[in-house]
Amino acid sequence: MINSAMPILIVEREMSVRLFLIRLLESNNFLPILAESASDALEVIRSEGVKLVLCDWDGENDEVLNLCRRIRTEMGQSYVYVIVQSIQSDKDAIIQAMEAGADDFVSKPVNAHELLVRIKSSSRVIELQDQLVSRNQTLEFAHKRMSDDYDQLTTELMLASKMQANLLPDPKELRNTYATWMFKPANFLAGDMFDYFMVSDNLLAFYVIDVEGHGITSALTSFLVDNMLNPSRDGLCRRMLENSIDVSAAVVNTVTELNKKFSNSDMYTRYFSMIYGMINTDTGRVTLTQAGHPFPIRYDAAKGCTQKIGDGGVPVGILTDVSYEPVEFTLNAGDRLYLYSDGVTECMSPDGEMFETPRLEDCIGQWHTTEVEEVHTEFERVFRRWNGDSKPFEDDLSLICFEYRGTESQLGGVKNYGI
Amino acid sequence: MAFETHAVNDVTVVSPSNKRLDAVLAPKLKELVAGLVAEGNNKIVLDVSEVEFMDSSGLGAAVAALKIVGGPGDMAICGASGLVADLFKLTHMDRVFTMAANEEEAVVKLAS
Repeated sequence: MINSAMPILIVEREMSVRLFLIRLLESNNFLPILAESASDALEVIRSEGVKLVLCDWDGENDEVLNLCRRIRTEMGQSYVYVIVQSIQSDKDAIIQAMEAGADDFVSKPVNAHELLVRIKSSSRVIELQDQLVSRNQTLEFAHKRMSDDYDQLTTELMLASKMQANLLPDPKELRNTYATWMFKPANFLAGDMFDYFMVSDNLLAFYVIDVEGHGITSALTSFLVDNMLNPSRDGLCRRMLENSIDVSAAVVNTVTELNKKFSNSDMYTRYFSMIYGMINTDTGRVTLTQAGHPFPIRYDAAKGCTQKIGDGGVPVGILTDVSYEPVEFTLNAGDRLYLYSDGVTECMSPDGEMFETPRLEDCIGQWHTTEVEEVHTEFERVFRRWNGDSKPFEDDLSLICFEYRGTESQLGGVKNYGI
Repeated sequence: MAFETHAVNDVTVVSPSNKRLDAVLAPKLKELVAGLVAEGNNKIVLDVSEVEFMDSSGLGAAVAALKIVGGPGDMAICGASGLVADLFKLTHMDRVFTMAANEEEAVVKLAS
């Protein structure tokens, strides 16, 4: 039996009642404990772990009521059940005892059967209370563990986010072409990724990708792609260039190869939209493949207008056996080429209005006079404001701008571009 | 219910009841189509006429559904307009799916 040795504290002045209670409790497998006075009781409760107190009250003595009050205020989470026994059985006495903190009231002389029933009902309350306390402790423990884990995860994600930011290229001049960008991840980690680098003396390779979703799996997929394309690692770009008959075949073959790899369901990766291409820095000739990524925008400096490039294409990794088409055009000195993820055009204002492509084209046209080195700050300002200044972005935003500066001979013709 | 479904002959028409078909609904769409196919309903029309915005996860779910159903002969998209139509064009998915202007046309296309 659970209550076989349940300690019960008896605070009783009358010797005869005391003896009666001791015998009654012992014969019902309880462990009676005696306190000399109400003032000693609290100490005994603490030292013996008492949960039930039988307390005699003459209806006048404040000491017993004080004991009730102190039990309620000083015993904390451990609930002590108090049954007051009194020769006073009028309503006022009952209310007074209950208000002081008693749980139950028994009139004297005590009827053995009634008292045992009340003790049993008290042990149900005590048991429930104990369960509650133990569940609370379990919950508190679980909560602490979860919040520790969460803190650790947040720290990890912040570090990973810094690592990801480190993978991005610096804005820089790569032979006659200046490259710069704006990047705003929605979470700590982004599914957007981009890079640009020289793959030969006069070929600048570039890619932008936007992996479905955003978060850890998206970021891991983008890391994988970066690892395959980057010339300092797997170097797929350079290998395809060496093994293909011309630049446009190299560009198409690279994306086809990526699709073969990422449409394999064993990879457990997510699909992504992509633009992969090369700029011939001697001629301004651009060859690119558009795989489901938004249409690149070219700013034509001579005509002073923007132009959307390409005809779309199937994202990488969504279907097997996809054939990709090259898109070719030439940048003249002073022209700019913008690549951007859909997080840019779908960026939502607090009023629920999307930024959309025409507005982006307006910005591009408007800022052609801004030095290319500074143009990213204009975009950052506009998108921060459009998004509602303090709000996190709902999707990753990445925008890359290339300005083709031309060779010296080409520059002669359009000396005044952008002024 | 995230989706409303009804049958026209042997074709099941699935319509998202939300204006956004995104990462929230994507897994539910996949699950729904898998369930329909398991019950032997393997001609599906995804009616997106009420959908105003579809993201990459929504598109991914539509393609996953297409793979579950079997192929473009058994699954059509109808009622795509605005941004949703733009997304299908941009990703050439309008060439992968059977596209129809409305439910009637979609049902006819799947029957032929």
